[in-house]
Amino acid sequence: MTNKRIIRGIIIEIGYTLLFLLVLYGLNMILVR
Amino acid sequence: MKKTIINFDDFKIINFYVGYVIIGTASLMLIPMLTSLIFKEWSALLDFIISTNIALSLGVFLMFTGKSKVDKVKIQWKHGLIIASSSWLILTLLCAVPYALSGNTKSFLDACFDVMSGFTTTGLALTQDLDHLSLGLNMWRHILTFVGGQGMVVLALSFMVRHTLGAYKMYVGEGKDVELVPNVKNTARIIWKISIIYLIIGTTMLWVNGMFIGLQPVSAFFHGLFIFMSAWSTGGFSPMSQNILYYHSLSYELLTMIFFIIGSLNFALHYAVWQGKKKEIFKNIETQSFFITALIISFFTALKLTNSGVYSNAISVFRKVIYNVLSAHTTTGFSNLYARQFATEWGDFPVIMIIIAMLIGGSACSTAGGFKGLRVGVVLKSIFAEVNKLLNSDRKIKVYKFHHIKEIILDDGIVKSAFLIITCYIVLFFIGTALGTYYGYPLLSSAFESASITGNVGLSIGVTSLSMPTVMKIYYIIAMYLGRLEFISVFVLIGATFGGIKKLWLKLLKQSY
Repeated sequence: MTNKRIIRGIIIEIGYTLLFLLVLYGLNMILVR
Repeated sequence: MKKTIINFDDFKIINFYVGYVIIGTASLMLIPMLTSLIFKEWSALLDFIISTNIALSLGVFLMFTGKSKVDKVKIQWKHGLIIASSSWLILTLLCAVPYALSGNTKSFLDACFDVMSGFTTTGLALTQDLDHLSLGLNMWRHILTFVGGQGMVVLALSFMVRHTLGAYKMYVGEGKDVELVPNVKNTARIIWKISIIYLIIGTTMLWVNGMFIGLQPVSAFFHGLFIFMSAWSTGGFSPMSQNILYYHSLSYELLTMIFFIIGSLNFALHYAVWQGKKKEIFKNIETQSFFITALIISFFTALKLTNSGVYSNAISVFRKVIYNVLSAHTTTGFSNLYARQFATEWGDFPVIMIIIAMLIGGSACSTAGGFKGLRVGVVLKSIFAEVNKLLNSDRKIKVYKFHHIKEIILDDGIVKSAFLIITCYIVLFFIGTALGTYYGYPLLSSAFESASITGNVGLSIGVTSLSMPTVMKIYYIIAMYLGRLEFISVFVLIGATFGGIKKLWLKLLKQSY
């Protein structure tokens, strides 16, 4: 595991989680409308 | 001659390694000791000095008794499993000493409850006056949950320089079964490397955010450190009794959500992504399973709570509903609601949804608890495969596969083992529910607390308290322990203990005649 790959891996994981949370937030927007 | 389940040599080798794990974990007491020293908490410092001495003395004694056999006896599966399960039990007793000495717990049983809750990353607490605990004891609580998430055996293995031959058997005994690299010592080190890197990133982010929301720099640092350790380990402990509600901050909630979701992912998945396999995060059966179940549970819970008018805008649904559902699903147990709000405000349907989320849990070989996404995925896939087989002609043979780091064939062995563990979890959950109702708690509250305990979650509906019957406290300790170690190693320990007792009994009977 090189440092570059670790940083890229962390960004991917945080990005994936944020995307997931965004999907859930979008769902809320639809529900409360 | 009849072969015995466990003999004296077995006992010695188990002693040696249990002593090793105890020394590894007891050494961690140096961190709260140092914290107490820096912040001049003399009473807490003395508690830790006494506790460290007791733990280290026992560890050294156990290692000494088994030293003669360590190079002569090969570690078998039963040894590995018993070492893992018994070291967790002994460490629970030893690590409870600072709690008991601090005077913040009513009894030693309550102290053991809190330690087991920390080790198993559950997060329920019986410690009193959480808001005014010494910094040293707070540090100890969160270190326990951080180490428990990764595993005490994993910690001991990462420092192991000799006798690594049977290490894999101990590693499996702790509920982890994926070797990231062929050498188990290096696997343990990678697990710690991933956790420490995230610890630095997470603590820094929460520290800065803490200062931004008005905490003093030193206080913000410790809050950040403690909350990160808890979030990453999907633990649920917090330095304040109001848990995450104390911060009243969307950014704090968002950051903790990110860290407990990442913490609930499989270490093998982290390793694969960090090695450059970017698509693994979307292809993995566990992330897919988590995504689908979390989405469905969030949707129905939010739908019910918006329809019944409890929450009326997207932000409050996100902050209250999604946060608690995800906290339950990842088995974290952070909450920004008061415990009784689940029963009085949310009502039956959302509580049932949360129970389902808590039972499903996070990923296998992670810090999370529950059935695990891998098993849920395997079971769903096997049902799909079975129906497909019936629909197709007998002459057509199709091999079903699932993706978890690599393509794995869905064979009967994998499905059987997934069903076995899920059945054990369900039995444990029903016993806990029945026990709660026996002591007069409402059915839904008993089921909620039982699911929280079985899945090592930590959300509470108000059942867990000082006034809880002692039998329930003991059952909860056992259920947390069984749920975390995933049954098998504890069953081996029970089998070996009963085998030993039977042997001793027969011997005594023989002598008396």
